[in-house]
Amino acid sequence: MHLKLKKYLVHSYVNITFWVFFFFLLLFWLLPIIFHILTGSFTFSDIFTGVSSDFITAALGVSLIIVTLFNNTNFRFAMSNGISRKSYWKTRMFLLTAFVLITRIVSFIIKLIEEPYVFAGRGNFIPRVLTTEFSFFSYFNNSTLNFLMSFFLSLLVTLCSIYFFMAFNNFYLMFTKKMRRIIVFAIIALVIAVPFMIGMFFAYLEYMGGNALAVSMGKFILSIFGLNLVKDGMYFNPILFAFDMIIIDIFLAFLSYKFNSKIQVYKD
Amino acid sequence: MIEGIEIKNLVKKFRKDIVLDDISFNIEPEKIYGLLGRNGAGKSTLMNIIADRKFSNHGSVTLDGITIHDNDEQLSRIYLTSEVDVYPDRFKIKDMFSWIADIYKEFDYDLCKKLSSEFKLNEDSKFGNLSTGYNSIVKAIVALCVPADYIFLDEPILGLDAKNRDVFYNALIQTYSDRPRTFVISTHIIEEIANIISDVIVIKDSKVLINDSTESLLKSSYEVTGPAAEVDRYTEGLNIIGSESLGKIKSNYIFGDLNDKPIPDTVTISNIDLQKLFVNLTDRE
Repeated sequence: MHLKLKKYLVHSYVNITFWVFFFFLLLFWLLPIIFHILTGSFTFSDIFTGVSSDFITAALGVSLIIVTLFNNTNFRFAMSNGISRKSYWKTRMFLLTAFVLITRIVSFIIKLIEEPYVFAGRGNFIPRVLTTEFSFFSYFNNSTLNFLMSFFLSLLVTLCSIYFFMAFNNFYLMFTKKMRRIIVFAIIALVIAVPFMIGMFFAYLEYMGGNALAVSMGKFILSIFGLNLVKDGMYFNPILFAFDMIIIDIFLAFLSYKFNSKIQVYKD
Repeated sequence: MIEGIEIKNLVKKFRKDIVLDDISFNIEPEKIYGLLGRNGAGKSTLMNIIADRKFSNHGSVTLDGITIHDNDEQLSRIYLTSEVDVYPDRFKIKDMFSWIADIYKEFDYDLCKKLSSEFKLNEDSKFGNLSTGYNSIVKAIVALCVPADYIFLDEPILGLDAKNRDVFYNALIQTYSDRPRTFVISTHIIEEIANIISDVIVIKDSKVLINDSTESLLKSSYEVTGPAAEVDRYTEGLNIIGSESLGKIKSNYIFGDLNDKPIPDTVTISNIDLQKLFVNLTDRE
């Protein structure tokens, strides 16, 4: 890892996070207050309603996505100043993982302060009709274990999405400007097509083996991720889910490394 | 082990077009090279491959016998400034200098300040707002101040006025004499660098046509002028790289040794300058 680059990237990420918070404040705090004032419905409590715990978690999440996806400038800066692709990837990987850790810690501290009851032990059963999010944080009959496990799972899931964006961003940067446009179009087409493709796949299963085959296939896919469907809901195996997520995280990190090693500096 | 940069069997293709065709040569330490070639000859591509910004299809680039690709230690000894803007547009110039100084331990901040003042550069401007000339100036300042051993300057005087070009050349010579290192300058304004460069590399048709010292090149380049018939008779059998005619007077440009024939009284022989030599060499089919 390159220590000097680390300082530069931290500065860049803090800068982006600052501006994301600034625009979030503008959109979700200042503007509503202005609207309240303009429409004559302003009350003193409006000052406090905008900045909630969700606000901080969402702003951190958006910052994380932006620092992951807007990477080309930093990559060019590093490359032009004698830093290898390998060092750049290592430094970025370390910082983004640390960033994810910080966002998760902040999010779980807020959760612990605002809704500590979600970690209460209720077993690993998730009822079919979900009216609360309690079950997502409840796997064991011990609230401390539930807190630690849900924090760990949340960390793995967030890392998965960040490593995915990293891999995608590095893949995108491998190509010239012209090819990048084609990739964006292809992705938009895929985003639209994938739900149809899944639908078609299940329609095919129904045609071949009736409803039972489609349901058992759905159950099988979910079971890979530790979700076992029963009549009244589902049982969740957090250990299996964590194991799957670790494998996916490692795979995505490896992909991002491979794509990163193929990026060239193009004239834009 | 070869000291310096060794380029070996380098091939670069863009789809079906071969830009660099199996080229091999060395760049030695503490020399100033002129990398010459016509538009599209592959000069920028070559420099980008050496600086590991682009990949070759085949071949290797090593520095002191160690591969440059993905090697922090070797890459930190090479600096390339090119037409591609690698710095964030939002950066103020002073912040940009400060970040670069932070990465390179021995960045010459004093020289950077001195050059900024000589070029009358406003360090509070943002990089993205600079004119073409000042864009080149900022890149040139960075290139002269970084502690790299091999500096590649791709079109360093793009958009610079005559006064600023003069400041740049003087600064280049001064920094070279203060701390000798290798400069590789690629430019189309050959006459201005002819007195600075010690060696010339000419790329033509995707190959290295010439890689020799400037002195040796100019010593073996001649312009034979006189009546057309006598000039043709005298230069018969020599390596004629070009010719010009004005009425009955003709000039033949020769590259290589002259023969032992007696020189006719009506014929004059003189050395030609680098620009003329380059034009004639690269113009030849």
